[in-house]
Amino acid sequence: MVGLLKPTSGEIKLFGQNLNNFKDWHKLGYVSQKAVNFDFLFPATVKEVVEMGRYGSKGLFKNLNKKDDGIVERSLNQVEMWNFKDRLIGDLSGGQQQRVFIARALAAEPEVIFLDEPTVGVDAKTQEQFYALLKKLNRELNLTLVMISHDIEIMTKETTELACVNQSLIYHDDPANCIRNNYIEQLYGEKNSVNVIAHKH
Amino acid sequence: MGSLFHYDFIIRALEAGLLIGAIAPVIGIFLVLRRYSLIADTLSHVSLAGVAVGLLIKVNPLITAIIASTVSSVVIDKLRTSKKIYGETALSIFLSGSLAMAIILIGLAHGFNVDIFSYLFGSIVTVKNTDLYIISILSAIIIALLSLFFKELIYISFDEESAQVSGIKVKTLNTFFIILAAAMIAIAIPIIGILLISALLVLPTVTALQYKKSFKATLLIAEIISLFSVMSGLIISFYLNLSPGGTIVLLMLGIFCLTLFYKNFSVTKN
Repeated sequence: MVGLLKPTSGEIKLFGQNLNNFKDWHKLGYVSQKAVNFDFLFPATVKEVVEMGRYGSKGLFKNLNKKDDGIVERSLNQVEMWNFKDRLIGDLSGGQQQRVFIARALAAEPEVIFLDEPTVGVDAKTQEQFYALLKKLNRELNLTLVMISHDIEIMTKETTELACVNQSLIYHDDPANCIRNNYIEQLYGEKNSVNVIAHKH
Repeated sequence: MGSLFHYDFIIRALEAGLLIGAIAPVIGIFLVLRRYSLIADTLSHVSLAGVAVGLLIKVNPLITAIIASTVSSVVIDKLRTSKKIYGETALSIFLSGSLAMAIILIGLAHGFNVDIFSYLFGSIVTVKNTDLYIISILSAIIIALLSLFFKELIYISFDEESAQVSGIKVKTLNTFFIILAAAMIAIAIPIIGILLISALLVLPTVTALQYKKSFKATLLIAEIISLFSVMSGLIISFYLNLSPGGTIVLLMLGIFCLTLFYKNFSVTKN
């Protein structure tokens, strides 16, 4: 959906544009599944990581200016990580790293943020704080968050809209209804991997 | 020191060393962080085949080395990304393949055995005037292009997937980078020698990484180590009549060991 894999059939549209000639990449932020799985020896400070979020909308050969610095500072403040700006990213805890990667996504000033299994390998307490942070961002910044996850229980609890995908779209509606009806069975009926896509509006 | 600058060849070697010592860490830091270190080794062996061709057909070997290295870097990159064969398999095929080709070519023209030795291990007398021109021009091109997409390369090295989603042309930049690395490897041959180039690229960065600093600070430390080792290595090898490549790499290795020792010692003390 974010252009990393080519569709086997059909076409994908983002903001009404076909993905093949999609230009507005800055409108979406992306927090990958591998976010907390990066090279811990990589020499980058928290600030440098969040600055990467600005690179996409900058052209080649253009350095970051004062305005970019301001956006980086604001993004880090939004996830309450500004105090850690000079620490090495590899030295932080998993939950803190996650916040930094969200700040990087925010720094691109997107309209939608895609989160691909962001809570894989994170303990329950950190997960809770993580969802609290997402809720805050959703409310305060009026940001659409799209979450891809296998954890259906959390998804039905924390989201406002739910789409279940197993090869094809099975369900797309209010999360409460999903449990009431036997969609879950349908979803797990096949042994293939199950993705739940949930929108928060 | 006085006698050092009486010889034109040592001034040329120092000038070339200054350029190569300065560029090596900028290429090296990305090679190390992207786990591409072995590419340097492969491309330097490909360069040897290029040198052999040059010596055989009596063209400046540096030029044929640059052509061989850059062309095969693109082919290796294509093979790696095609996923038809494993990345490291592509590297070993090219490494042994080009070495085989180099040996056959050297055998065909038995005349240049002495020359080949200086290309293998580097020499301060190999740098000719035309070589210095080629090294200067290519260094300028490499630095100009690298600064053009420096920040994008940092992002790609850190997180290729997110870099792509943010709109950075990852594939194109990867190819560009590998070509620049290939050119850098080829121009380092006269001084460092084919067999030691990967140490020149890898050691300063690996040492700098031990200090656990920001990206910019790490690059700066790598630059200092690289320039210091290359320049003092050239001067020492001139006075003691040693191989410059060997001297430079041993200096780098010494700094690396000292850093490791110092870092571990200060950690246990705390």
